[in-house]
Amino acid sequence: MGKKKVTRREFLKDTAMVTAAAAVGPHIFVRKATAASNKKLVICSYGGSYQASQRKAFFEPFMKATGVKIVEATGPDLAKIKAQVTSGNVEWDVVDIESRIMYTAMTENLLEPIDTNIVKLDTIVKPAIHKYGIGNIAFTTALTYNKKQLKKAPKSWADFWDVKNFPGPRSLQDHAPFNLEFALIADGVNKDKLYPLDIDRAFKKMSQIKGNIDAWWESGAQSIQQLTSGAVVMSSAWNGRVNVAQSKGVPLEIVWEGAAYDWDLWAVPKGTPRKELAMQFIQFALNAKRQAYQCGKLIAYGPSNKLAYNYIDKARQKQLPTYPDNLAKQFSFNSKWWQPRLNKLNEKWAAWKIS
Amino acid sequence: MNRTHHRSFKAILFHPTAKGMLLLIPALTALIILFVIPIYRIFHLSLFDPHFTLKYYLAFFQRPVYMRVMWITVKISLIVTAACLFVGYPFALVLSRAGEKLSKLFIVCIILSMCISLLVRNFSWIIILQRSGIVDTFLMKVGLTHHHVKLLHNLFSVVLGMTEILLPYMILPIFSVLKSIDPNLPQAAQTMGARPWQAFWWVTFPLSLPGVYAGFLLVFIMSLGYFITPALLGGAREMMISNMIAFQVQTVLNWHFAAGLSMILLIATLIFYAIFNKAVGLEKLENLGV
Repeated sequence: MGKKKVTRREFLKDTAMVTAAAAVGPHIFVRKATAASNKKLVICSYGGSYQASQRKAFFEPFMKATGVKIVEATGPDLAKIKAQVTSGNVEWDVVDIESRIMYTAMTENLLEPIDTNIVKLDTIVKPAIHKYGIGNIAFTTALTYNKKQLKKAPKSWADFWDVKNFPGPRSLQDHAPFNLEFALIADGVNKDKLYPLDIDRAFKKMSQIKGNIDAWWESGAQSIQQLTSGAVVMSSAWNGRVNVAQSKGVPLEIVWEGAAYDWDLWAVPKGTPRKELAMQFIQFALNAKRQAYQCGKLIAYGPSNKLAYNYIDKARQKQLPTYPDNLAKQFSFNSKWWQPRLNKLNEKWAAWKIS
Repeated sequence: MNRTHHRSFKAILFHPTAKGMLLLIPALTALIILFVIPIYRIFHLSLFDPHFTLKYYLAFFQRPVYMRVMWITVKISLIVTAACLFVGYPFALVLSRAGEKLSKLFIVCIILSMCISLLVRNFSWIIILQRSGIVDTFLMKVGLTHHHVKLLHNLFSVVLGMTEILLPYMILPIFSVLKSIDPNLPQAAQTMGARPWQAFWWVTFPLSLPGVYAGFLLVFIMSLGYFITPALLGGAREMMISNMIAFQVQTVLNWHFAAGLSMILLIATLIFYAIFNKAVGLEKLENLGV
């Protein structure tokens, strides 16, 4: 009773339908894929709240404006870019990568040069312009602290090293880049005269704080989690993530003094069959109003298009890495200096850590 | 008809002949495509750039940091294996003597625990062990300590995290061996006047050794390749060789050196395997009955 009895006829009908779908399915898929291959664009970015902001500000409007279907991927791993390019099977048409990664990819010959006939650069700030990638947003790695955990507010990296006046466990990212710069600034080196880095001096300074670093963070989420839970009282962290946590009511504070800013860039892996469309997307995403929407409303990073500031309100501007007052306090991270030294310094970093 | 067919199948199974070898073909093909060829390619990558060179192997021995990290890797793996054994053996023993329903329930729980993402489990440990975390707060509230206790980002938390994940690989083989031991044997020992612990130590335990060896080997070899857990739960000193391999693959794109490091890890694992084989005789594992 109540149960629907499946008749033999119905059963046969269903089975036939499934079988037919299974048989026809692949063909439909193949035909669609070939027909739309020029109308599809695969973009790989860093995920999380960052990619969500790109989806709203760039991906969805681009799909609407052009009818192109954007397929998203997450985690623009350098090894995957290399595997795709060297095997001649490029899946990602556009990648969002940090400048360090761009330099390595560039030396390995994994990127297409930016086509300046399509991508217009006249309103893009100079440091964002490279032959193989165009800056999309500037992000800052800054000393960040939890106001509830500290009685006094730290003002600089020197305070991060001062465990007497600012007691409590700390955290830093688990790699040499950025940290060696921070150590030198704490040791009194002028932030405009950091490069070439005095490696020995930096490691000597790092040794002073090693015992107070409770955790070496691996992912951006980890740094925020530790600061939020009070597991550490201060840490280096990315400003956009801090901003998102602040907007949720977490009492975090950024110290712009001595922070490092760096670029996330749009780049195109070598050999993509949709190169032109990829360039068109980059041009689309560099638009001032769209960048203003992303950085002004969605995530507090610094737009690369100068005109974007015209559309961002004053209060919000003060939270961005590229706001003149903030910019003056920071140094520009030098990926070019790091790229050829990365391996050697990583070995030194590992040896220093386990010693 | 049916009978002869059945017999010939049996004959193939129990008297391996040229025909019987045919049954191995699917497994061998999969093994060659998915295992032998990739390993050969990694081996090739570690030796040719583009001409024959030993520089990637020499680099490992010339720069002391790699040897030291290798030693840390072996040390952590040994501690984790020992911890799994100490926790896993009593657990398997109790389980093998529990009622059918209860032991089935526990086996299902153990297998289910293997389905939970490694990252989720590691992050759970962070939340439990961190400063002002559950354990720390509890200890301070109870008054056992007045300072924060450092439970996270040290050898302790790494061993705890890895043991929790690898424990099933110790429990399951020991359990299956214990289960296959004839319960009359320890009983016979007791009728002959042995106390329960004597019966266990002289009869049950020696018979369960194949399971212990299998569990030991599984856990130890899996530990050698770990890197997410030490990276998330460890402090500065808990660095494992896979971390260095990942760095070469992902960050500096030096795949030749990464291949060299991987081969060295593989060779080290095989050496441990050979030593182990010499010491206990792995043919005993054939009695495992799994």
